Amino acid sequence: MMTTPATDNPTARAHAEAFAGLVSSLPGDATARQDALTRFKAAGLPTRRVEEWKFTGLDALSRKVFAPAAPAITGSPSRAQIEAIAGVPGAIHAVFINGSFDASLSDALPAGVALLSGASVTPTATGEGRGQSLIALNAAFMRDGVVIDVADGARIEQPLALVFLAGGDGAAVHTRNVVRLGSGAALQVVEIHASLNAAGATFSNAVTEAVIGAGARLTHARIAAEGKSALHHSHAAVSIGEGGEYVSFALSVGGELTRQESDVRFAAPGGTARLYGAYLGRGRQHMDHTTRVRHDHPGCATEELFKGALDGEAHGVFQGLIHVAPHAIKTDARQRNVNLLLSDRAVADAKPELEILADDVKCSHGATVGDLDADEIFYLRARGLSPDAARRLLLTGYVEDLIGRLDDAAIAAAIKARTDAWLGEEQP
Amino acid sequence: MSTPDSMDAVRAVTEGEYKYGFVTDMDEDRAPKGLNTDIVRFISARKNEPEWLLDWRLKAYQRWLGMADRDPKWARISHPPIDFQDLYYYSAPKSKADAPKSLDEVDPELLATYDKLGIPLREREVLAGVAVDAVFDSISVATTYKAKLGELGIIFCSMSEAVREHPDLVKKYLGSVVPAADNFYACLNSAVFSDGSFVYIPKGVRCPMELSTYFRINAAQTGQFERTLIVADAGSYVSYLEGCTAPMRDENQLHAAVVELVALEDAEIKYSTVQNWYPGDKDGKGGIYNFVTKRGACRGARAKISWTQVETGSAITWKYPSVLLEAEGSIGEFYSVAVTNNLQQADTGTKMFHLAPNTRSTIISKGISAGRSQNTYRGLVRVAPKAANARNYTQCDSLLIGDACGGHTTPYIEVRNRSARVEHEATASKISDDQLFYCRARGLGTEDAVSLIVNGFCKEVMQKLPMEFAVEAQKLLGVSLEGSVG
Repeated sequence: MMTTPATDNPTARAHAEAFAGLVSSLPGDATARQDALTRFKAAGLPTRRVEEWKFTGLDALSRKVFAPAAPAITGSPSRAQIEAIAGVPGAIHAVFINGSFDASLSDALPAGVALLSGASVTPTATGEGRGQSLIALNAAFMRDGVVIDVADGARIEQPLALVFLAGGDGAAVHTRNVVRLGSGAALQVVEIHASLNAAGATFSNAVTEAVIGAGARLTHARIAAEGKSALHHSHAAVSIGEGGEYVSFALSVGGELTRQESDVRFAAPGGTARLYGAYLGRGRQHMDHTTRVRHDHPGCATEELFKGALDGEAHGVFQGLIHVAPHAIKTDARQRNVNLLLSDRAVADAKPELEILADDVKCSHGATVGDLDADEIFYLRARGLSPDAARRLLLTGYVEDLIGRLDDAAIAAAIKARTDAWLGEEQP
Repeated sequence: MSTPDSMDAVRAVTEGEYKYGFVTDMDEDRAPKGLNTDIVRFISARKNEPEWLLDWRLKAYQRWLGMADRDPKWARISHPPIDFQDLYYYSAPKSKADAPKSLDEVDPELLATYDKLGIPLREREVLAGVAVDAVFDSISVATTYKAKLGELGIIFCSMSEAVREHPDLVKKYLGSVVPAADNFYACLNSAVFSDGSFVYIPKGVRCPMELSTYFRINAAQTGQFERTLIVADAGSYVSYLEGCTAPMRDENQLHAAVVELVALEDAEIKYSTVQNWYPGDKDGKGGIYNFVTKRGACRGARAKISWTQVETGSAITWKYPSVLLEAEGSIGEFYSVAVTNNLQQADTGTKMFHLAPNTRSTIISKGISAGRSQNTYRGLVRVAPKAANARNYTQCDSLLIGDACGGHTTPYIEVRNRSARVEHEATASKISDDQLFYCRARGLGTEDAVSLIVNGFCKEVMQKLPMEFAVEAQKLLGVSLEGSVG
């Protein structure tokens, strides 16, 4: 009733059928993968009847069959193209083609960074809750990704750019990253998800687990910039230690359907989470940002800001839950979602949610939906700007206000390059 | 605005409702437990209803049987499953022989509460269920006011009477806002509704007094299924008060009412509720399940529907008074205070459907949780593609008193028109120690200080209440939160 049985969905069926033939070639513990597949089959794919998926349907996985992709495909880009796709100045690049590491396109990995395929990571049920069966599917089929261990006190200055390229019509790509920061460590990671061949429809399903130690700081950006017919689901399951900090930026500019989830949990008192996101959609794009922050300990702070700009017939979704457990006093949580509807047929849905079980807290959320401010456009036009130029200037400011909140210049630059490109394509 | 005279008048009219409403003509009757087509036929027959209404009820019953989901599970409430075959769906008022003979036999705690609320003595007798034949000498007064309303063409009577006397109006509007099979509880109500109020305000008439009913739950183990329908014709105005600030003596669990409002061109309906049914004891035993469907439709241009509610009672409140803004320039408002204490659960809010251009809505919700209670605001603002220039402003504030309660906010915002402006703000906080200290330092007791601060927190909503309710409702907030602060 609540979900589609796995056997009723062609994509789910294709995965179940491919499993036996594939499992021996996949790294890690086959039994754990089998268990994950069983969990996925039991849960089925989420449908809109599951509250967490109320605004986003996965019909595209029924309309077309997506099967686990072959590990390598032809037509790889050049190293220069990789750097252009990543757009992170001075980064260490790790490149994955359809979920498999490509050493020829990647930089030498620094100490502490290993490949998942070499690290024999056992898939866990991390983050698998209601409506999260795609994570179980990932656990069963994940092929590669990185496992990063940053030692206590180590501060990695160079950002790490993880470039995930998918291609081949009907390819399903499951990748997983594990990031572990010791006490006082610091790291910046950018995931870039892009298409090798914009013409084919691909389904990428990326999961990142992060454990942030006491006083450590992780900056984690996810850029979903795949081709027009791509489906993209990504999930970040993050645990923050005492006084630790997680800074996240989720950008959606590509794909036919994109859903980026963040599931953040404070594992000790005094942590900070700063979650930012932008979704810039046009055409018939559907972009969903879903966050869940669980304050299970006292004295933690959350700041969330998600901004949407929706043109054409684009559909933007923001769902944000802030949960404050009993006794998680002195919680300071602020969440804001702003949506601009730039065309008559654009659609915005928002569900900001507070769930508060402790009294000594400061929590707020706000959500707005509207068009660009007519007064502001008038102001600029009165100073000689054309309507298009005025709109573009306001949109640029709207997005840059968000990017400006990132302290990490290289990551901010990578995001800005993407948003500038989107604004440049803007058709009045 | 309202003089003591008009208050008496309101009570008189109310009292008239009781004397000639469903209570008296049902005397000594009780259908067997359970629900089936025979019971539906029995209820309809007892009320001498026409064939079309019986058919309507039977259809609703069939739809209810077919509701695969059974009762809704999405709200943040929990209760043991309800055995719908273990309830009485039709019963006469409790025999007067069992009722207390005088106030001396009434629970002193209840009397103390009446005292704090300043309820007039004779009214206390009614509320406490004292077996007094003529509590108010009001028959003549009621008749006078009925005549006065009659002169203006206003119809204000029980639903049963309306079915007999004004079948065309009832037929036209009943179920037109809340269809029979709208949701599980509304569907159940459609099949077995007992009675309720019917109001019709003719074109251009401004109802000169605030219409009011005190609903009462009568006999033990009887689910109550009121059905209220208010129609304001073009250019008319009516303010309607429902409920009662005083706790009432009753032992029923389930209450599934339906209220439908229809406002035509330039008409305005103001609907105010104070709900203070039995919330159960400190351990959450007993208490009313208040599962209510309330919805208004603005069917004409510039129509306005305003819901104001103060919800302090019931073990569980599940209620979302909504407005369908179907016509150009229509306005919907929702002002709510929901207080939960001990083990009460409230999941309440509103839905504003912007379906036409230039529609506006305002939502102000104040949730106060204390004890071990759970209090949820759940709301929907939907702007349809046609609703150009729609405007919504929503503010939801939660106040938490004590570390064992919960205050939650779950808004849904769905916008399909670029020219709409929708704003939602929500906060959650506790009563600050500074505020309490300030009040205490000026000689207020802790409970008075909390009451003062809570009333300040709710001021924007309380101001919207008609005079009749405002004073009592303010005291009620204090009483409801008694024992919540150390």
